[in-house]
Amino acid sequence: MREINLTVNGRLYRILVKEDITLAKVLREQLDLTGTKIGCEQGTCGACTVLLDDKPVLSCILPVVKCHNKSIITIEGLSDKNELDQIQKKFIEKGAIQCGFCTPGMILTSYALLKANPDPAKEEIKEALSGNLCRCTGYKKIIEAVSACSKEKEDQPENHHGKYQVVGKPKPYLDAVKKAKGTADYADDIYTKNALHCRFLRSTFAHANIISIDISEAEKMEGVRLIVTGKQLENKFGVLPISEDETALAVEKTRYIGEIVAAVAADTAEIARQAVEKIKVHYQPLKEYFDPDESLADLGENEKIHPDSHRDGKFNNNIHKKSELRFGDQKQGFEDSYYKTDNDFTFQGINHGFIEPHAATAFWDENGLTIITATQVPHYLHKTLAKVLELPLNKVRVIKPTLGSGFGGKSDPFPHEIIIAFMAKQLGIPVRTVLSREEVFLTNHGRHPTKMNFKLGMNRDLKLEVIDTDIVIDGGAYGSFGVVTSYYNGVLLQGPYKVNNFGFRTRRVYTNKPQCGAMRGHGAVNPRYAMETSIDILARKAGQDPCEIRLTNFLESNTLTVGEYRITSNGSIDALKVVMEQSGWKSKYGKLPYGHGIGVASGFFISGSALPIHWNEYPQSVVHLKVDFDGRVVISSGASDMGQGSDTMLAIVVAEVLGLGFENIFVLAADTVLTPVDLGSYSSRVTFMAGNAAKHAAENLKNLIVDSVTKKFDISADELNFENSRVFSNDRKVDLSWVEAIDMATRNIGALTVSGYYNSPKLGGTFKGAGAGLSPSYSFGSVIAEVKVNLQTGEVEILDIWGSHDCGLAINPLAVEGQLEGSWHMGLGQAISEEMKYHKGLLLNSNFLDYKIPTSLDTPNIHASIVESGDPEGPFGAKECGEGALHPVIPAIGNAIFDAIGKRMMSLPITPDKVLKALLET
Amino acid sequence: MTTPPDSVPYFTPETISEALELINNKSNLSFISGATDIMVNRQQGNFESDGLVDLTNIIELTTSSPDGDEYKIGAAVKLSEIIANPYINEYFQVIIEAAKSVATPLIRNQATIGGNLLCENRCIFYNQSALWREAAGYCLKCGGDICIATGGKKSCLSKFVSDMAPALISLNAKVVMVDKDSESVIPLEDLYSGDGIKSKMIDRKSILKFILLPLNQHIKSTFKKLRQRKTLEFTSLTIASTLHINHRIKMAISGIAPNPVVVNTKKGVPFDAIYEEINRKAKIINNDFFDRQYRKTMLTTYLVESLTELNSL
Repeated sequence: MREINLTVNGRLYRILVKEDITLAKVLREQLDLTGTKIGCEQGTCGACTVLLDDKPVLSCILPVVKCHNKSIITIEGLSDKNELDQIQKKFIEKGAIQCGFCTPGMILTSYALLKANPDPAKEEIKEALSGNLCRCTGYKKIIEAVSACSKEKEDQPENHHGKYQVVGKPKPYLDAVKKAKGTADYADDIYTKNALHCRFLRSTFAHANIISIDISEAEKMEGVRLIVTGKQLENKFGVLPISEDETALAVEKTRYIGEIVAAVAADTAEIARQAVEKIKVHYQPLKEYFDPDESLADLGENEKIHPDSHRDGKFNNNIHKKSELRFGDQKQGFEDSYYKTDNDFTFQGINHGFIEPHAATAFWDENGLTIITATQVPHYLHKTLAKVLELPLNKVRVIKPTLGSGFGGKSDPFPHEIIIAFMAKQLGIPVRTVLSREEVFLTNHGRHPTKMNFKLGMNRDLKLEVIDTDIVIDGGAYGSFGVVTSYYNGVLLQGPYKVNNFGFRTRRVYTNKPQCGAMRGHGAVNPRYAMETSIDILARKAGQDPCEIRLTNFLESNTLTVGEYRITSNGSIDALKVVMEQSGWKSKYGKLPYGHGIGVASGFFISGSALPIHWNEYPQSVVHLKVDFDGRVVISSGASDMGQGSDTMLAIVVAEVLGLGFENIFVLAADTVLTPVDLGSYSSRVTFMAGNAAKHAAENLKNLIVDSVTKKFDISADELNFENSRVFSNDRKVDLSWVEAIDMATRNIGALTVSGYYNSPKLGGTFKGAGAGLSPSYSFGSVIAEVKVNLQTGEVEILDIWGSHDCGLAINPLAVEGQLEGSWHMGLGQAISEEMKYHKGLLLNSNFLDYKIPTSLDTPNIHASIVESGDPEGPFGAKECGEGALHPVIPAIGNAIFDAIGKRMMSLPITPDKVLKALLET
Repeated sequence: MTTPPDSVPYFTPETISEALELINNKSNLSFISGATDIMVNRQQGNFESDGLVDLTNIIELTTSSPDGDEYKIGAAVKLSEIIANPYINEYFQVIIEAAKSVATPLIRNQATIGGNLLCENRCIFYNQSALWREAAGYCLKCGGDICIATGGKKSCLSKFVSDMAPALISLNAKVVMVDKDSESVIPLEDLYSGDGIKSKMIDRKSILKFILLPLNQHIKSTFKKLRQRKTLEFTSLTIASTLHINHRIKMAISGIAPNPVVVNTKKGVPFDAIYEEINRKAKIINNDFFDRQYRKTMLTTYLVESLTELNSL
């Protein structure tokens, strides 16, 4: 140990530190300054940025001894006497904060830039921020926030719906201030007294029987409290009850490199890590499967990855799920088609890349188990923990703290959560864990690597006649959401175009790699690329403008698709027209010089699944409201705000119905004891379903208040108005403040509590598989991308992305824009640089250096347009905006590259080597 | 599986002699400068040492100034300081370009020029976690007996990845090295061994003190770096070329061999002759996220571009 002096945020600390420890660890663990985040521990994400003598540095790779006698500013030190710095204010105001995990680093880097250069140009801002990764925003609003500090530009007129008080008005997130101050508590920021630390031994074999596990040496270590191996937790789980094939630790055999084989709880993380090293496992290797084609074939004498799958013994392969639906007549469709295309496409696996690693703390007390964890879906974790640990449901509590985004990657129940819960129960002592970035990548559940054959036919009248596709998705070692993914790969091709002859087959196979699952745009992203590329091919064959082909083929509003999806609101035409207009499509398409191109694509997506994963009659979302003497309405919802802004959305909905200011709203969310069930933040369901439940609850509360006021004053209900935190009659003879109205309504009965709920209407056909992809509403959108291709290097520079999305109605335009810009940025990554690369089942790029999320410098100008078709069933007309926008951006880029160089990109990502190879082919 | 011990001593000498005394009197210590690579390598279990000797408190190493007909840069000068240095901006644009291409602005506030010159060679099969290397089987560079990239058993062809070195070598930079016995001045390129495992000619007890650049000797330089994103990444191929007043052209290339590939030529020499020499020295294998063929093609492309720019003067 060594004594050092640190001046942090103006306060002098004289502390003893481990000699080679990093500044980030000292700040977080010794000084309780948890605003400094750790996202990668390798200096690649920038979440740990602090100012050292006014310069931004990466505290996760900075030995603390280097800071001896120096001055450090962390995010907590930026505001003065509770007055935020201007950059913090601008981040909040401009919507530059979503999940907030990158925010402390982003703000500090921006602060340092502005100090050195008070009036930076946009390119200078992008350069300065290029060491800080953000996965939520696409950087656009961050750059705007920095820019706004130097030049107070005239704010654009707000997109405010005249008929509503707060709906449609840009609203910074309720928790944006604490995220900007670094005081928001994420899972690993929460201190629990006396907590043990858990670390995991992970398999070094992709497919092997576990012959023995020797924990004797590890057990002897001082400070080791419990070692858990697979046989102690044999109950199977999986997010889908129809596909429970996973155990918390490998039992008897291991199925991928990185699978948890043993876990140690110890007094410190360091002891746990050392103990893990002392555990000896004897493996007997089995034949490994890395290539999906091998998993499709007969396995001969070799052991299946899941030997107990297909218990009937009918199939001797590693196929997890085969889904196939056919409508109309594909053969006839092709006969009737004048223009045809038939191509093979390849897609690599994609990881969510959220900056906050998985982290959790579990404890056991008189109420049973409590786990505080970074989860998108507290409800499913609640059920899973009860099942695996054999606890009654009333002995499990799941709390979601501030969540550093998820994009689908925090929606399954995870082994580390189950293991620490088990340990806490066994020991009666809290147990915590945080995964390293490598462990996050190995946990995966990302987008499936995919191969597909795609056939599309169009008739002479330019109407799409037929889609037929055969898809193989590489699921990795376990099921996760894979059954749903396999359907979504196919069924979500029945929009946004009308096609009567439509068929698909998807086979999901197990391989010995980290499992795949749900990721933003779930299942439909890769087939969308194939579909939109194929339309582009047919448009070229027909000598037609691909935008016009799309406009000719879009589904109508209020219609059924071939697979009996009920299409209600549909803004696809407006969405395409707006990007055509903004991009100058007509003057550019086919007219740009060689090497420079423009491309278009469209898409659509569900607003939540109409059918629940667990078959029961419980509503899909329930919201409770409570109001007491102080007038504050407490909104209680199980929905998980992961940075998409769902808490704020609930507040806006309730404020609108009750005519309240936000000072009268408090949101309590995602705690399975305190909040009613919401099925979670996935499949773009929260605004539609929890929003409707909140609206229903607020209307119920309003009715109670109306009842009491109308009785008191003997007026009719339709004379009463709720606005500006007042309740008043048309003639103003009754004119009550909100607190007066509540005082009246609570007399003799006390606090008012009401409930609201949402249930999807019964939808869809009666055939097997009819439920897949059913949704009460669908979103639509289009993207146009303009690119330049370097003909010497194959490098693609994306110049502009114009995107539009029909979200029904933007309850919070600031949040909607943020979702759209983030979606396009994430799609851009899959298009040009991101892929999970393997070497014999070993993930080669399990870090942010080698897994290439686009930085600020790699992100083009993004122009977002919100289209509002007004959904008849959405809350105030709102529907999905967080996932669907991603779909069209990737094929728009691919089509733009074709426009530029006349070469089709049939494999993602479109890296310079592939482009150059295509350019050199004659 | 090997991981670093809980904690090792961290020394902060203020003079060169103090630093040399430390390293010679205790076993298995290592010098450390900006720490940006070493901390990551330690986190991955790729860097073992019983203690760290931080050189950045030695004031002598943190300053730069003209010195006779040379410009002297302290090895512990940070890359961000290089970028902000008006003298270097005026006389050695290629150094600025190279420094700006290294990692990210945040890392450049910490990383030093000396650290960049001495950074460890890289390979996608080596720069991995302890878990990864155990699962893959240890390669030549981490004590194993086979190269995962080539399947060969003889030599490690990990890539030399410094971006500063090509720029400086092309300018005919020399370095001042000091150990307990002596001080020497050698051409920068002579620091590198060409061995992927032990990639430097110096041992871990020597200190790189200064980089010396000849003044008024060059006319123009070019700099090209291949990487997938515009920031953050180690190079897949870096070429710096400088035309000197005696019409000589010096080129130095990173990312294609375990050491910088250096070519001394002159204006007007046919491309094929230069290419042939580089090709003979290059050892491009599949140890990068860009495949071998693409890097080979890009080597030609960058060479043509560089020579065209310089020959057109």
